[in-house]
Amino acid sequence: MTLTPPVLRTLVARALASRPDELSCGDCETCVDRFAEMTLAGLDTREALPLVEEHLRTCRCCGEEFEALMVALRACSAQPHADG
Amino acid sequence: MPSPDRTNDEWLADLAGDGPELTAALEDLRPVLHQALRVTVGPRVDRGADALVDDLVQDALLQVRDRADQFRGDARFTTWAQRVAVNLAFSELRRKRWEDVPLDVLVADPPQAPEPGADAVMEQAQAVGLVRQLIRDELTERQSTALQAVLAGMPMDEVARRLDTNRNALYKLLHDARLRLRRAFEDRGLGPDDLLDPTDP
Repeated sequence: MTLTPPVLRTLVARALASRPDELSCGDCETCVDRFAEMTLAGLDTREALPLVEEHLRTCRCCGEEFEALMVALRACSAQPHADG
Repeated sequence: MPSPDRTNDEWLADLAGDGPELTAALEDLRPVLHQALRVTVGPRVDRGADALVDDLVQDALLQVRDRADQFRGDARFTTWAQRVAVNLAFSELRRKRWEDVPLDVLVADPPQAPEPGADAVMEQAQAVGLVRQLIRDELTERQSTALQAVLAGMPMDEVARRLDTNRNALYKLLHDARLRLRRAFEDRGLGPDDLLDPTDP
């Protein structure tokens, strides 16, 4: 394994910041739709769903998918809603 | 967008059927998902984006229909459906990007480069050696392999595929590994200042 200084720093920082109550990707997935709609509405997600916010910040795949979902929802928000 | 208004319950009811309601619901959902993937996948693909998006939309429609019973109702149904489509599409993009990279290349221990003698570099080398030893001593082989692959940049869902598991289980495996390392650091009285050189670029 190539533990370069940046990789080492990432690993150590993530390990030291680890908490027993972190959300898994599956846990996050069950909340992220509401989180996305709250974000779109400009509501305070960090206050309401802090663990989701933390997971999206630290899990690269979930974070990437969330950013893409926001792009899709913003594109969709210019269109009439298809449900309610 | 041509979709008629539907409540969440109406989407679920129509998708649960197998007659014209199902067909109409899928056809109304298609442009929603198509737009979602066109604006998110399109910019990430050099060639053949239209065909790829069409294929992904078709796969996503099937997944939305099959997984509709997992929708919890705390957001718009179309938000959930777009998220299902985006997740499917991005997993596929990551799989294609990484499919030719062998896992063992990422976790192989390369020969040690000779270290220069400066103090800071020596301290860094000691920290690297310590962390490497803790990974070896404290983690299972599966945890170590997964951790090294993720640290090397391989996406979680691709590591999960190689280890014959899923992303959720892999996250839990890595979470447990991080907690073990944290305990190992704490047991040895090591804090961020001992392990993280703030002068590193």
